[in-house]
Amino acid sequence: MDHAVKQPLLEVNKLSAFFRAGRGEVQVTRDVSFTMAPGEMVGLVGESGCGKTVTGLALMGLLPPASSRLEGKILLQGQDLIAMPPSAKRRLRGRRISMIFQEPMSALDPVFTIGHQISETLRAHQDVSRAEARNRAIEALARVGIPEPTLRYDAYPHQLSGGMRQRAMIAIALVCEPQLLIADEPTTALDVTVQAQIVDVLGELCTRMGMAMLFITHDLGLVSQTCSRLVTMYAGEVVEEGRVDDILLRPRHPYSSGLLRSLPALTQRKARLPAIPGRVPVRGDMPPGCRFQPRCAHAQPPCTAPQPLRAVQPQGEVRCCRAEELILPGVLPVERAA
Amino acid sequence: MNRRQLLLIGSRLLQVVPVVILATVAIFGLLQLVPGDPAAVIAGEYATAERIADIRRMLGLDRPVWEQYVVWLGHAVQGDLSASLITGQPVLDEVLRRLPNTLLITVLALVLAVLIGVPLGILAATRVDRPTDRIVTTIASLGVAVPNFWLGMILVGFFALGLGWFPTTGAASLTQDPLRALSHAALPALALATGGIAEITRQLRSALIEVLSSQYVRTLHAKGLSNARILWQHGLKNVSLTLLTVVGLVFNRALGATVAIEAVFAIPGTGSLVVASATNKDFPVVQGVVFVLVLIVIGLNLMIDLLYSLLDPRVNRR
Amino acid sequence: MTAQQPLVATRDLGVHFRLSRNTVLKAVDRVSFDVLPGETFGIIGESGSGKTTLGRALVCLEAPSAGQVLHQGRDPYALSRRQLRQHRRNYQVVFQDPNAALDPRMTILRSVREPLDVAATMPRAQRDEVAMQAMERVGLSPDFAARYPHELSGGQKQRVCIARVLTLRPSVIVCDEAVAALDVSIQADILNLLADLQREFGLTYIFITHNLGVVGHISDRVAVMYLGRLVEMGETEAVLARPLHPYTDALLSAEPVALPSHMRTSQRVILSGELPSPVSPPSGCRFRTRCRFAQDLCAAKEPEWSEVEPGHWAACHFAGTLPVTSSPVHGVAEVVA
Repeated sequence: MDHAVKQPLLEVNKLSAFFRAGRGEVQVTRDVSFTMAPGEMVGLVGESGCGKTVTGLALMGLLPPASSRLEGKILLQGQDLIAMPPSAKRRLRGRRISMIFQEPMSALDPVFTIGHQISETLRAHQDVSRAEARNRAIEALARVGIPEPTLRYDAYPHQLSGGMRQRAMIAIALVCEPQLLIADEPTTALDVTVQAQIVDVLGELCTRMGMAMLFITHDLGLVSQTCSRLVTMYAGEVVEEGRVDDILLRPRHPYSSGLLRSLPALTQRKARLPAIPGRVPVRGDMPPGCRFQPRCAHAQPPCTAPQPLRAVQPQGEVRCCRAEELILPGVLPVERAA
Repeated sequence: MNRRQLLLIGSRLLQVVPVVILATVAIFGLLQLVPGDPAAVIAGEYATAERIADIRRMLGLDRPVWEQYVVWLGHAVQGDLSASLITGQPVLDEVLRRLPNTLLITVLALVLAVLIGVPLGILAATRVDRPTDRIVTTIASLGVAVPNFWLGMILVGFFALGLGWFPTTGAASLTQDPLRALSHAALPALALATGGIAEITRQLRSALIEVLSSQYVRTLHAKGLSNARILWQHGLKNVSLTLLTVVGLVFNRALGATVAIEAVFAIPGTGSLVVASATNKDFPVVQGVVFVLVLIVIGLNLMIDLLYSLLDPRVNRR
Repeated sequence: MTAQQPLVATRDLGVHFRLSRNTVLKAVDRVSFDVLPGETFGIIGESGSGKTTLGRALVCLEAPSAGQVLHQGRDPYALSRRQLRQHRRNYQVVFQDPNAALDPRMTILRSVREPLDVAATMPRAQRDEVAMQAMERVGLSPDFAARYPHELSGGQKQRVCIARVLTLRPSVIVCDEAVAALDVSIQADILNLLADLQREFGLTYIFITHNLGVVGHISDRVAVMYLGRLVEMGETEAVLARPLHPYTDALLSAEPVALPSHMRTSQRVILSGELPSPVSPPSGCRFRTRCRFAQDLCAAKEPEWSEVEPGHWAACHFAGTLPVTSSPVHGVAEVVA
């Protein structure tokens, strides 16, 4: 459980992403830092536009090289992925880090069978014969719970249901048994009952294969079900990092608290929902200091000064200068969380 | 070939009937508007009005237009495309004699369009917004705009009259003297091909750009496939449908454009036959040519449809 | 409660689509319920359940193929075309995607005013005034009037859609996944706004969603749909706390609720398989193919739609006798209360 003892699998250090816009650049994420231990399940949470998907794509090296630029470090077992030549990075993708996406239909090539799409991944990274690749692809299909995998090998994506497509996508991502899976909203396009199945499969495979997973989602409920640690992003920055159970009960950042409080399932029926006033600042027009400060009920003058991400006791990191003095409600009212 | 594909062929063949009827009716109608009288042509310069009327009666030209059409159609479905009003020669023989010349330049134009257009399209799509792409797209937009008969005349002036590399006019039989036939066909085919090259380049470029920026290509990158593999295997298979559609379109257009190009290069093909017969109101000949060309176009489109169902697994689904 | 005339009611309502010569999709099949004035009636269902078609049928956007939709006890299809047009203004819809609902080339004011322009019952100046009032009421300041949709955030666009519907002073608003595309903090905002408007104008809501958290929060009563049929209906507390139908139970159990691990008590039920094709639903009980309690009877006989407890309906042969798990959604409500 204690990830400080193990050497981290992934260490993201002050990662910033910039996109070219006209003649200039806009900064999409700023100083994103977090670590993941081998086999650890970490949730990366935030609302749309907070930079969570960009961070996931940056880890994979999938941001378009012509129109984007990265600063900082991404260390996979000590190897810096940003400094690595593109060809070496390509050999990592699909083998040591994999990614699955939100829309399983558009994420699969419509004119190739899913079996082909699995075995070509295998053959891109390992020296295996066609027959062996086929067998291992069928095994992979079976592992993600696709019935009659031998028959399904020759199916095209459009012949599968949404849930089965996402399972096929998982089979592609996991066929080389990577150390890290980045799952970007893998269940958002699916129904709740199917979502439950997919989350179940993912969790089980991670445990069985000893694989770490970065679960990118807007759904705090899903994170609490699947992950042990949580990284919250707001307006391109990490604002809080810590154990899921701790943050759910005792968030340290007012934004994490606001997110949790606005979940309708957690408020008494028909009661007024504690929404967060205002709207997310736009890129290129960020407020000074804490980016959440204009919407924060606890903002004070020091909040307009630059806010570093800093460690708090007993563990975790927060980007808020008032973290120690504030007692914020999580999923339960403050008095009940004690 | 599965049951679905057989059904597809069957239904397409049934669709041929109304298309042929529509096309021939339209041509028949339009011919009535063209000035000229075949009877007068046959009768010669000094014929009396009576003599001309006799010839009209003999040829059945005194009967109502719709009746002439029905008689023609009745013979056509039995494989008899009637005879020319002017020469009395069977139309089918004449069409089949000239068709190879037309098909040679059309097919050659298509081959040129694909051989040049496809690499240009790929080149531009893989270098979006870079100088190569800008140059290619500029040339392609010019190519679409240039009228092919005008280009034909320029080509004749430069390569045939100026440099003397190619013969200026005429045609030769591909079976008897293939080299001479090709050298005769080269310039007209090139003139016909320009529009097609431009069209294929543009369409392929935009289709490939769309595919390469799609989410499934992002997945392919995420799987660690090389750029070359992504382009040549996944990219090309996904744009092959677009390519097929454009190729069909280019062929149809090129076949239509032979009317002008054969005039410029004085090629004895079906295009020049149509022009000559139309001015004389020799409608059995015009009808016969249209009939055969429509069958060729429909046959090609049917082939393209079948290829679709082979290339795209989604086509077979209802 | 029985004394009240239902504002919207369905009687064995069916909406069928003919897909080809031999296949008919019964998107909504023999659905009956009453919606009382001033209440919020939630309809829960997954994709393919027919909930959107049902919502459209309730406001006369889809004609019934069988049975009836009744508005205040009257069949709107019995009205003349002109009367129907008048009548429809009372029954409005807010859709999931505000982008699709707003014309990108129209200013916000024009979009909000548009229903009044179509109705053409008042002079232009007055229409502008009503539209501005509606915008103010949903929390859009007057300087939004001249802007275009692309300048607005998702939440603001959804406010525009709500304002637009409000101009007609409807008595019923069907909200079809109206907050599904929004981030949670914005979603909370819109839900609060809808609650305020309900209080102020005495609105009746029919809230169609796949999100149990949302439906549980705002509804007085809920109905659960599966493959075109209602499988359960009742007071929200009762349905969430003591679901009678195994499908409701599975839905509740599948809903991920943000709770620390030591507070998760209930065992999760994970349904096997996915929704069967609505074109050829299973015989007997439509849920039986995925139900962990299914028996021979379930395939042989269709379960009756019956009032198992007062006001709590279900369509299951074994309703009330099955060991369904207590839902985590309810678990939270208990903990929080």
